[in-house]
Amino acid sequence: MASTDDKVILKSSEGECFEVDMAVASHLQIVKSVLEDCEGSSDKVVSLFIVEAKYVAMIIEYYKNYVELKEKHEEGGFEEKLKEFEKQFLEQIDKKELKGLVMAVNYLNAPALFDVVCTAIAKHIENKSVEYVREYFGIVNDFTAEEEAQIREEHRWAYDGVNDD
Amino acid sequence: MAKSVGKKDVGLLKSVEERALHKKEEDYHKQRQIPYFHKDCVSNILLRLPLESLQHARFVCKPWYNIINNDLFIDTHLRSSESVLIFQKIVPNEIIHQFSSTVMPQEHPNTFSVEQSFLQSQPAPIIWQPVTNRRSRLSMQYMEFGEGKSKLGEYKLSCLGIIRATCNGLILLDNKLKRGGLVVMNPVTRKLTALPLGTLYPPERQSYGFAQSDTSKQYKVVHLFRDELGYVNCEILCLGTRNWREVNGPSFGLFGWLGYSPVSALGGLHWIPHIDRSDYIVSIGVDTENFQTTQLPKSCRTHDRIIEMGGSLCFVTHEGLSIDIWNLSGAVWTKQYSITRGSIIDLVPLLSLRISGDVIFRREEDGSFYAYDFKVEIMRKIEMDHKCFPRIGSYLPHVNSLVSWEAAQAISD
Repeated sequence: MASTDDKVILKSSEGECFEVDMAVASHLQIVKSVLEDCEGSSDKVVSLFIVEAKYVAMIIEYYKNYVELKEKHEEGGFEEKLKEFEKQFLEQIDKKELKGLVMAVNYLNAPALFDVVCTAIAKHIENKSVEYVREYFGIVNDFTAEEEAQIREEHRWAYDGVNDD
Repeated sequence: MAKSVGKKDVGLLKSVEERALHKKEEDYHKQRQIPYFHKDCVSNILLRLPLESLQHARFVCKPWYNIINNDLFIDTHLRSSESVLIFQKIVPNEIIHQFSSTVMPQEHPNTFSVEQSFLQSQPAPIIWQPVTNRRSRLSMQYMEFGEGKSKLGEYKLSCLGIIRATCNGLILLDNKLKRGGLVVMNPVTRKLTALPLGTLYPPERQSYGFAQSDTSKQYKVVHLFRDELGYVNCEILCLGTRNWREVNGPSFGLFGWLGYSPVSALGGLHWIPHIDRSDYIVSIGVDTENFQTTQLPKSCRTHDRIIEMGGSLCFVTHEGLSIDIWNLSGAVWTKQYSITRGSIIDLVPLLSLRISGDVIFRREEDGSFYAYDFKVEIMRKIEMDHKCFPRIGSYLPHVNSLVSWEAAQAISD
């Protein structure tokens, strides 16, 4: 049995607490460095001020599986198994949540998951129209008509077909 | 205190309510407007987009335009992009009538013509020389490799000239509007520039190399040509400058043949100087501009080549029924690998894919392609989604990217 020393509590922006194995939490660079800073202190609660509970749960789920798979497939096959899991993992997340998740992961500095989520978002917007991408990210077009005409002239290659979504 | 809720307090309450309402409205607008999306996140997502999508993503907003239109971003994107083979084929059944301002018959509405683009950019109209009418128009295409298959890609680009050399996503192309002239262009962005005329020689008596300096990042075009006395001369043009500079050529007699395209690696350009049985290679340092020769570990035969692999220079040579790969380091060749299974005697190595590491071969007998995968140690014949086609010139290693010979320009807010 793991002792409580191997656990850490992550607190979401709403104040919800998650008890996590150190082996899992140490994949979040920010948690790691916070714990290193307060080494020796008995208090093992890390506040993730800006991260909502639903994202904390997703991140923990990902790294829990990551750690388990790595242990189980030490002799090889880890990467394929992880890919399989990542596919399932992404299927349960809706496209809007991906945006929140990528910001949370960026803040927590968790490279493996960051890569997965960035790739998923890139896949999602890959063949979408400019209008769709703006709406998806909530971006307002700040080009003036003249500027837009000018860069369209400079990058004429860009015109070919897109799927509208 | 609590009891005395007077008129004054009602006023206070109201203003608190108003403020709360105002705040709510403000929040709503904030949410509707640009939510704070970290630039790191955006650039990491954009780095994972294929080129076609990046071209669209430019138009999303100014910050995105500037993320993409940035030399560091373009360079990082280039580094994560896989190699392709670029080649040209004749546009079928087409007679070119007149290269006037009228619309030309085109297979794609968005086909870009190199020559027409130059003609349009001329301040004064020039009369089209009839000689070019007899030439076939060439379309530019590329082959991508992955999972034992190859896919054909279109640049929707046509020209009359042949690709002479490639470097980092840029190509060096004959400029058919000017005899002996050259064009440098990026076939993806379609940005192009005409180079000033160098020394004129017939194609079979010259060779072009195109490389980027590791230190100054400047692009250089190296032109070798054999004069009437048999000497091989060399002139170099730095992109951005307007004149060719003569440099000391290789020693007399080193080159028997100028037909092999040079390979760029280890800060230099390297030629196999004979059609068959070369015992050495001839190299020029991109920065030093000095020629030197390096002995090969064994004679280079017709189906052997040098290729660039992960930045190193490798000599890929047939040895009995296997193919050996030698690696050059400090003028010494070391045998690095031996392909023992599945090698065929007429497989000619073309390139090593920069991301997957596979080496692509072309079989001389039937023009089919093979890939050797180092992880599973298997040589596989590549399935093609297209037929073998009449091709002009050579298959050259290339990478599709947004690179340019000029620094990227940001747009101000």
